[in-house]
Amino acid sequence: MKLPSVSQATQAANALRSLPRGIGLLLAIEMIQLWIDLPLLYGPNGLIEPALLHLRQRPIGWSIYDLTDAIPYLQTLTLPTVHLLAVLYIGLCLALVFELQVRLSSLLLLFLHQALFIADPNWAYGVDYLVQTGLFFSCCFYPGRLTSGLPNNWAKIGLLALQGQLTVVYIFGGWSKLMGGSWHNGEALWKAVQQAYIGSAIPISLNWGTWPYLWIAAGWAVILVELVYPLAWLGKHTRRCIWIAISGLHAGIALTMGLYHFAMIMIWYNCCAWYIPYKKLTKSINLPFERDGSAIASTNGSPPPAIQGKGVQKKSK
Amino acid sequence: MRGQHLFVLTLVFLHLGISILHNVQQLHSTAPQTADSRPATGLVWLQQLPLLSHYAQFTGIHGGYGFFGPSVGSTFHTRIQLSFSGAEEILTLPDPGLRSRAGKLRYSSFLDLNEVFIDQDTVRPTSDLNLAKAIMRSLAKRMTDSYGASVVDVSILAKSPPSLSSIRETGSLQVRYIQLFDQRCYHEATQR
Repeated sequence: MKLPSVSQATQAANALRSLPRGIGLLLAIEMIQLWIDLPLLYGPNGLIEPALLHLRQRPIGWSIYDLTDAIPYLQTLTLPTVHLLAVLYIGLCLALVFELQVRLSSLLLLFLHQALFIADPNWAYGVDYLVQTGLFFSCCFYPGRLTSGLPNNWAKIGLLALQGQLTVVYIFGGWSKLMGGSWHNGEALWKAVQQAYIGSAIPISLNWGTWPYLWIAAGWAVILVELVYPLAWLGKHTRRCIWIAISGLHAGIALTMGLYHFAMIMIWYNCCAWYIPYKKLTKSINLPFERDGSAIASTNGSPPPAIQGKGVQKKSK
Repeated sequence: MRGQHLFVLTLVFLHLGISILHNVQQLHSTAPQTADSRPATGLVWLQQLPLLSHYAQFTGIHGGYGFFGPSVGSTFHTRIQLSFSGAEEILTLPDPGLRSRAGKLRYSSFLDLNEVFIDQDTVRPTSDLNLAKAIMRSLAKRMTDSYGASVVDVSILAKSPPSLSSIRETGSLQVRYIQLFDQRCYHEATQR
C-alpha cells in the first residue's frame, strides 16, 4: 500500500519544525555542562574582575551586566541571578524541544543567548553566532505544531533562507581559506588539528606530520567541500554528496579537534536544510494478503486495475 | 497573500545581503595589505549604520565566517604556579580551576585576547595590550584569593607545534610553548 507522497512545502515545514528542537536540545546540553563553571565565568568572584570583562563588551546589544544594571534591586550580577538566568535558559531550550510556544521561546532565548555570549563576547566562540542565527530563523519561520498538509509557502521561504544562510557560511569559509597560502601547503590544517581543544576523541599524533602530502590533500579537500557547497542546490545527487561531505567534515572537526558542540550544531543545520526536506516520506507497506499484487486495490489515489482496464477479461463476442 | 510572500522573500534576500556584506568586509580586512590597497570605507560605513549593525548583531551575522582562515592562529594556555608560605612545593595548574569541558573550551577561546602580546609593536592599539595585561593581573589576583597561596605566578604561553616544513627539514617533533607574559602576585595567605 502506498501512502500519498507529501508535498514539498510540508517537507520544508517538517525541516523548520525540527530546527528549533535540535537547537534546544544541543543548547540545553551545553548549558547543563557549563552549569558547574558558571560561578567562575559570570559570578562576582569569578576568574576575572567583572568590571574588566565589561570593558570588552561590544558597544551595541545588551549583556547580562546591562540587564542586571537595569533592574533596580539587583544592580550587580550576583551568583543566584546567574543561576536563575541559566535555569531560564535551560527552560527555554526545553520549551523548544517539546514545541511549547516555539516562536516566543526562540525570541526569549535569542535575547538571553545574546546577553550571555554575543554582547558580552568574553566566553563566546564561533558557534554562538551561528546559534543566534538558528534561533532567529526558528523565531521567524517555525511553521506551527500540526502539519496541515496544505501548501505552505512560508515554510518554503524559511527553508530557502536557511539554505541560503548555510551557503553564505561555507562559501566565505572556503574563500577565506583559499586566500591563505598555509591552507594550500597543508600547514594550516596541520596546525589546526595539533592545537586541538580539550577532549578530542581522536588526537592526531605528531608522527602524522611526516606525511605532508596527506595534509596538503586534506587541506584542499576542506577548501573544495566548502566552495562547492552551492552545488547542493542543483539536484538530488549533488545535494546528497554535499550533505554527506559536509557532515563528514564536521564529524572530523568534532573527533580530531574536540569541537563537539559546534560540529553537532552545524550537522543539525545541514540535516534541516538538505536532508529532512527531501527525505522520502512515501512508504510502501506490503500487507500479507497483498503479496500477489492482485487481491487488493491500491489506495494511493490511482484507480484500481479493473477501472484502468488491466486484468479485465474481455467478453468474447 | 502573494504580496506578503514577496515582501518576506525580499527581507530574506536583504538578510543574506547583510551577511555577505560583513563577510566581504572581513575578507578585505584579513587580506594582505599592499601599497595599492584601498580601505573598504564604504563597506565599513554601511556596516556601522545603526539599524544594520544592531540587526546583524541580533541575528548573529556580524562576525563573518572565516573560521580558521586565511591562516590558523596560535592557541594560548595559562600556567598557574602556586607557592605557599612554609612549604617548598610549588603547585602547577594548567587552568584556573574550570571543571567542565564546555567551560574549558570557552576559557580557551577567551585566551585569544592574548594575541596582542604576539604583535604588540605593530598593529594593535595600546589600549588592547593594557587591557590584556590588566585582565591577566586580575586572574593572578583571583587565583591568590581562591587558593590562599602566598605567591601566584600566572604565565601566558603560546603553543607552537612543529610545522610540516620543519618536520621535513629537521625531523624534530617537539612542541614548543612560548612564554608571552608573566604576572606574579603576592598575598598574605589566610588560614581556612
